[in-house]
Amino acid sequence: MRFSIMKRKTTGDVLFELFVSVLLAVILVVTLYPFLYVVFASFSDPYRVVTEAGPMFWFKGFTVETYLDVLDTKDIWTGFRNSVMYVIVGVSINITLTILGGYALSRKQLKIRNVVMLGIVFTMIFKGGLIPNYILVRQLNMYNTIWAIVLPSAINTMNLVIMRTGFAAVPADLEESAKIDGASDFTTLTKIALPVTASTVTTLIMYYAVTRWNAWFSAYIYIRNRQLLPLQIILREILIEDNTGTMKDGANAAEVYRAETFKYCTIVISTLPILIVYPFIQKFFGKGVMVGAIKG
Amino acid sequence: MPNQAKLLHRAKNHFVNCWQIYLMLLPVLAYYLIFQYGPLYGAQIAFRKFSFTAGITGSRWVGLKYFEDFFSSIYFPRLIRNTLLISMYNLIFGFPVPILLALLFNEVRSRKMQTVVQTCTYLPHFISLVVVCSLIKSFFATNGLLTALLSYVGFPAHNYMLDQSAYRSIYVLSGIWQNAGWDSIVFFAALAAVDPCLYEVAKLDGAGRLRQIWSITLPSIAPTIIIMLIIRVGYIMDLGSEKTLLLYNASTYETGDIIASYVYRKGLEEMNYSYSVAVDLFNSVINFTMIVLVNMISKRVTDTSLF
Repeated sequence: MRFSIMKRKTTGDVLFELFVSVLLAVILVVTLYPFLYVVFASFSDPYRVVTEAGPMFWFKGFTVETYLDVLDTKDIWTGFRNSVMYVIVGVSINITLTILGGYALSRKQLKIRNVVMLGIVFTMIFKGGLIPNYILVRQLNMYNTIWAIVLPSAINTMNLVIMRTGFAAVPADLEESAKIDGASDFTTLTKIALPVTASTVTTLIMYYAVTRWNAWFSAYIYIRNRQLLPLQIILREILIEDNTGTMKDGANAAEVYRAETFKYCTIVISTLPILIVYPFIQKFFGKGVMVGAIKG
Repeated sequence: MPNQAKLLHRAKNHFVNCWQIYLMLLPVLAYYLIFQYGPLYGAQIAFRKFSFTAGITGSRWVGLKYFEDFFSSIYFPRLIRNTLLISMYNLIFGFPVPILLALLFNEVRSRKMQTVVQTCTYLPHFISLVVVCSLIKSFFATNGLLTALLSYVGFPAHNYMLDQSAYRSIYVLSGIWQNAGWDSIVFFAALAAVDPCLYEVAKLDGAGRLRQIWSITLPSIAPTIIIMLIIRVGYIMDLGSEKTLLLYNASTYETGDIIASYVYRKGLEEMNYSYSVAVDLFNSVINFTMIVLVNMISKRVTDTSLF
């Protein structure tokens, strides 16, 4: 405890603490209120949401009909399914390569590891850029396939460095005893190194999964086939370009109002997976980020 | 030659012992060669008149033509101005906020409140950019939440997404809302490493809480602040395209169009591949120069540097 010596607080200290608490409360409201507003609006009567502008502190009328509309939209289901597929395939590739690379590059007997690390870190500063990537994807015939989304971002270098640091910290005698027992490098990795670094691996899986779920740009430039579009692109069409599907020519006023709350419903539905995994990820942050910060 | 034979024998032994490690490394190397070095190699089309049929090396060499085109383009000054201004606002307003947040987290006495606020301020970082930008869009629409709040304090109630004078503020402030909490982690961790005895001594000397922050906390985390500042200043022209592409529209190009979004439009909408790569390359050269320069200055002035 920092203030164990002097228990008595001066008036200045009391005022200071009050100030800190009030400021934090304000920050809390500013951070969370937008989310609350979205939830309130999504369940509210569309007409009242559009006509009564201003802050909302409870539902304005209550309806789940807009949600039913959203669930009736085929694009959203297709997008949801595709996003789940991209997360599963993408993260499997991500974590496999990150583990293999991190482990190999943490081995002291690997003579070329410093050269390879240098070559890898080099790519953090020098990048080919948007168009050369696009040309490469087209020349590899990956355009309009899942591979265009999954492969160019197969490894995040920062995460690779974090994984490597994690493996380097595995006690050497643990591995040596396994080696003496005749274990191969693959066995040592799966039986000794991975169990010890399980929390780092979990953190990285979470990071990769969130990134994959939220990614939209690669699909935006590489995918033309509507059946392959991830949820974020569908969201972009609905939210940013205002194509709600309900907005046909000659749409009546009720449909125009509905379009507004329709957006809030899609936001809630698409963000739900993040909110569900968030409590699990947030236990791990700090750790991964700090290793990166120290190394960076 | 016995020496050579010995060397060969050792190399063979090395591979026999470590072949599995090389095998693990193989797909990783392949990834970096194809997807990181491949595009670097492809960037040479900035100096060629690229077409898909001719291929990268088959396209005609044109030297600095596309760079000259860009420098004499009417968009050049606007792009430089917007990229620099948005980056500088990001730095001036966005850099201190995470530090202040970390200080607040550190000063609050209630452990519970600290954890709750920290957890909540990290959350927006994990929300997708598409969702964040659509929230911005609907909150600043004519009947949006923030437009309503702004109209209470005398601002006009119009669609701020079409208002080019508001664009940069919206871009920068929403960025702070989304990332300040997450960015505070580094500073908060640095604060945890400050020796508690220092505070006890200061307290005995009669220093109040503000004085303790000023004389102990801030000097203690100064190295972290400087490192983070170097990184931020080094990346001042390195503004990604994604948020701009989601947020701007034809009526806000004047204040919102940046180099990265211009690269996207020229390259992928107008198919001017080589020109677009030239613009991108110009930006990369500036970025790299900035990083090296800032690092050198910092090394000389503060003795702290990245490399």
